[in-house]
Amino acid sequence: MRCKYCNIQVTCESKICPLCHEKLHIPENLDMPYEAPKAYPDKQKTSIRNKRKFSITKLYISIALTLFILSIPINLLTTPHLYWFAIVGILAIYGFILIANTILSNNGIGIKIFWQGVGILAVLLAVNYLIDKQAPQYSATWVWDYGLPAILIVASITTGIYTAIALKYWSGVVIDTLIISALGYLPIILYACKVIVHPVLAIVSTCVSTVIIIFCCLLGKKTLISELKKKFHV
Amino acid sequence: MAKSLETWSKLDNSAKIYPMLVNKKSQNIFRLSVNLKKEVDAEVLQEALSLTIGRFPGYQVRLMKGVFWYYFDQNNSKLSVYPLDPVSIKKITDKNCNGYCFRVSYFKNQIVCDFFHAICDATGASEFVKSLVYTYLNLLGYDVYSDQKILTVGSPVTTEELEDAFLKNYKRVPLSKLKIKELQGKKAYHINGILFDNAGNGIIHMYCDVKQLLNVCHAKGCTMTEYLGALFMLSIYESKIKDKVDDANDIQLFVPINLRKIFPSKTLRNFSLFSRVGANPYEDMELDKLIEIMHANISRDLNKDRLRDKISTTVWAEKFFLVRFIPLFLKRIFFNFSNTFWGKAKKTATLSNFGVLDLPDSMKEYVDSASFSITSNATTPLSLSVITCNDKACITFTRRITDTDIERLFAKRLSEDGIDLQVTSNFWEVDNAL
Repeated sequence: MRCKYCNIQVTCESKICPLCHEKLHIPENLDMPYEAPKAYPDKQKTSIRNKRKFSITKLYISIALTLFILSIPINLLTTPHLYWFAIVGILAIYGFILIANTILSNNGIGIKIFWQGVGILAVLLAVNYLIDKQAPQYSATWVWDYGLPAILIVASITTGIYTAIALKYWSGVVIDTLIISALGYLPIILYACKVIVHPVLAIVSTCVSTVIIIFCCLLGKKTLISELKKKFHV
Repeated sequence: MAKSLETWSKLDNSAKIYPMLVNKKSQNIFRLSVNLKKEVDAEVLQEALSLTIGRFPGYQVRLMKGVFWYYFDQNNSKLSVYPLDPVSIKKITDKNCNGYCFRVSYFKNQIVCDFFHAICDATGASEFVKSLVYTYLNLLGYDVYSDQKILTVGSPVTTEELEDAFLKNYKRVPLSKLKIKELQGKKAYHINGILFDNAGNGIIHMYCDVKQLLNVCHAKGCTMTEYLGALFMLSIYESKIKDKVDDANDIQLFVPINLRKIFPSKTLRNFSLFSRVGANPYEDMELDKLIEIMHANISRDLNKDRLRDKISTTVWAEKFFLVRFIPLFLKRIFFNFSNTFWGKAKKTATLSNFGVLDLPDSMKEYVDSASFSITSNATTPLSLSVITCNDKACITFTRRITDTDIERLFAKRLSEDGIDLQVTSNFWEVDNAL
């Protein structure tokens, strides 16, 4: 098939010229119908998975935003002394982290757990600030005393268990586990800085982190050194 | 002292930037395809791939994030061949390629290999593709010989193949002698047009007899790259600037230079730099003048000392202690920002001439031709790439815009110069071309 306008031969299956998009010219001396080969596979619709991922996130944002906007007038009309709509906002952001970072993303377990921890801590701080300060005996420390250490204990144990189960992928998760476990020392540091008043969970968090770090070091000193070399090479 | 192969490796100097520039819509990928004379047998191709990858440890890797830089880790996942995706030069992700930085696909008589630039450049990739096709033909029982042109399965892997040739040819130079300004260039004209609203690129292949093409080039006293580059610039001008834009910036073509020809190296990783060719759209738009400009710019950039200075500048940038110790996520932000303002803004299009895909004579009987494509993106929506195999040149346009006017004008001029073109397309701009 030829395009008489571009003076080229079109050698793939087509009725039109790929350059000028005019109808192709069938040579007169062609005895039998000529079937040109396809140069590329037929087009398909965009990947369904990508579309779904996109629409779930979009749907969530729409619902969360609507709820947040609705909560503002309801809050101001019913309980004007307590701004609980801010908690709705923080919960909406946490929900977004849950969907975008934890459920739908391809991030490693370390990053997922880290952002989960940050999200839950933010929710607790918001509740602490907005609701507890209305109470007669307001205490700003329960989030630091119990909330933060509890989050870090759960995070350390989760990554520890995951590392133990996923020994096959040990090299991929060991650094994440170590970093999360190292964060487990934060409560005891905060206790030393007198931010934390009741140290029970801070001590538990420190112990759990120590056990997991020792476990990591004993299980694969070689892998650990190699992983540190890879991850921190400059 | 002899060393065993490490299970991880640093990215080479040139590769370091590519993963940082990956975003939702673009990734630096190139495609090397070999068109056989018979339909591809997927099962045999899978077997050939499984055998071939063992010979190329540098490609059996997964890209990982470190704290300061990306690195390659050994990848033991299954490496599969895939039916060719209609979305051409689709992004290579951890999920769709089992963590590998390249993908082997097949369609009818084509073996199609897409490579993420982080692992290699086209010359390195061509060694893999040649080896894959050779193994495939061997498994089919054909009488083919490597003639020392193929890295055959079972031949020893050398350290030279895995070296970072940039580091090898780097010479410490004083800060004042670094060619930072030369690497920056001037602001360039950007091709405008309606972008495709879906992923994928529009691809147009123009096949022609290489002798015809060379005859035209010889008559004009220039090389193939110079001739095609001049035609490309002229087509851009006639299609997009002439009588339409009054104050267009210079047309700036990026022309990759294979450094292996100047600094002998057997590396299968990246070892190329760019020559920047600029032409004023209101003064230089005659074919002979553009050929002269192409020649002058490329000859200037092929100077060995000048290239060594450029290598030293890029390696210096990598080794600079401030750059080394900036966390990866900050580097990504910085490189994306600087690429938008100093990289893409100073490029109109890329013209990449691979040269000849040199196959042993015994393989030529089974191979019809080859094609080579490079990705385009929203800011540089058109790229031109050329490869020659079996005396057939394949000129490929890859684009992100719907209109094909530049390609039409380019083909028209080639036809006027007496070159017979055979054109194929994926018709990405048309809903139903059949």
